[in-house]
Amino acid sequence: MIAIESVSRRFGDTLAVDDVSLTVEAGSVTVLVGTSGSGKSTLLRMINRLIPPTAGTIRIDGRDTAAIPGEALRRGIGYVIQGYGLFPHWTVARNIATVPRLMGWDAARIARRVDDLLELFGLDPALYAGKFPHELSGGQQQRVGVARALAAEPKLLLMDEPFGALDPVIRAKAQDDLAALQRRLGITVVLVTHDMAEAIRLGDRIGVMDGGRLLQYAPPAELLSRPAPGFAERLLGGSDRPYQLLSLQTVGDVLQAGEADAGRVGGEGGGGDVDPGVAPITRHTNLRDALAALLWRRADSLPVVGADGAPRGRIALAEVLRRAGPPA
Amino acid sequence: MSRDGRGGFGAMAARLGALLLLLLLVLAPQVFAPVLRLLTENGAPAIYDQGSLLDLTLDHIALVAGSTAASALAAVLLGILVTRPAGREFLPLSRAVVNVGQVFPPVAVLAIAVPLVGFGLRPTLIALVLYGLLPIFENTIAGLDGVSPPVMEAARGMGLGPRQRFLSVELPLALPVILAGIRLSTVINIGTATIGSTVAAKGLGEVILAGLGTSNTAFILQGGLIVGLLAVLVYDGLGLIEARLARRAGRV
Repeated sequence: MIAIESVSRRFGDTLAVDDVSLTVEAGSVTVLVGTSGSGKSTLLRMINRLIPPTAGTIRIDGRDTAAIPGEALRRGIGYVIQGYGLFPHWTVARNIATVPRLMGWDAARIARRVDDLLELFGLDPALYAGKFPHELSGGQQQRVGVARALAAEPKLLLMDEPFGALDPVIRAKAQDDLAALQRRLGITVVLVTHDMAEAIRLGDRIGVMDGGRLLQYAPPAELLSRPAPGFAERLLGGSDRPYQLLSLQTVGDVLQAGEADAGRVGGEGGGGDVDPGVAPITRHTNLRDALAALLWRRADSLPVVGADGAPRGRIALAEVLRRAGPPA
Repeated sequence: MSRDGRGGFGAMAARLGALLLLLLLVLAPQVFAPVLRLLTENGAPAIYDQGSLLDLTLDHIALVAGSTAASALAAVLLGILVTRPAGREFLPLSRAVVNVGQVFPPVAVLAIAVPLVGFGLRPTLIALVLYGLLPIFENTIAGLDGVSPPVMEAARGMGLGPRQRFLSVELPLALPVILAGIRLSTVINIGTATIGSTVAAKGLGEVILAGLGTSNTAFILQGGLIVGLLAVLVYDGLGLIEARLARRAGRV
């Protein structure tokens, strides 16, 4: 758990971070979102003391970070930045081994760890361990950057715009991979982005920052339905908001008993029979995808199936639409 | 020269040709007597005969190597100092001093140095060391400042200390640029070192001066060719080392 208590940072005459307090639960993903100059990166870099706070304290698992020597603190915290900062004169394996080497692991343990991580990130060690960063694609460099950050098995991972340099298709995949990895390892992630969609997609809690202040700190659903007036509302504004709200809810929330009505075009909308391009709807499908299916099949309701393909009930368009706005 | 540093067949042939020509000029100058005789008048000697060309060439190389090594040591250390946070404020002053070393003509330095330290090697070394500082100093700064900020940020974020950041990240990445400065300085000094002969330092300048003194174009040509070929070959050779380092530093 990270406890940030009344932390401020001044650069000359400007107050980059202004009296911010927030708590990050262990094993959760917290996303700090804001425009450039909002202080979100400064706040992130105060957690591993790349920038020491001017005022306030930051505790990690109860320990005041000011009491830990900076380098020792940083070796225990994973750190990923935009552009990755891979060392261009070192191989992929040597890059990943950076922190374990600093911590004095023996060579065999380092080699094992490097191979495990490369495999975890879908990079064949035989092929990639000896490559240099400039021989990798952007997506591969990004994965090596995360692998390097996780090499010494930190419980906390700090990420500053980690997907900023990726094209949209690879970015979506990298976001999914990160979410899966985080669940699997149970690590705590604090991520900084200017992309609200990314924040909603990844965050268990989202902190909205502007002008060095934390304007709102809430789970994504709450942020979407009740944004703080002013900046947070503007940042969320735009036509995507109903869809983002829907993307946070699943079919399980609105499942009804009974059979689906016939779709206007395809008759019984059973699974992918009507339109093979649309996957069957299960309890875990999010409502945004369910809405897409309903619209695409021009149906007022569609059957919901279990993992075995057996019917479990139905989902109605009217019910989905009711969920697309803030609670009355 | 091709980017992979090895060069194609043509580059290699040119390199070997230049080396062969240099060796012949130094070790067996008589080979060129029939051609060079065309440049002499009144039966003057066509081949330099006032000393061993090999000895003069070795003296010349030693003079340049010694002065460039001293320049490199001073300029690299100074460049490192003024790129550290604590030394930044000395950058303008250091730059001014080093620039004076470059702007002051080596001949003028000799004129000032001779009354102070006497004739021979010492005033020449002073002039060459001063003259060689600037390219190495500026390239050291450019190389160290040119290391990409995300790389340095990552090094800090991973928990590397200041010494580790400098020795294992910053310096290796800056090395190709620093070496380019040393290469430039070396080549400039191979040519400049010939003026040392005006104050009785041993070197290839003697051959050229002897030719100028007796209006013997053959001597001037021999001295000039040997100096020129040395410069070309050293420039090329250091370039190969540099390209290899750059490849290792991932800059290619």
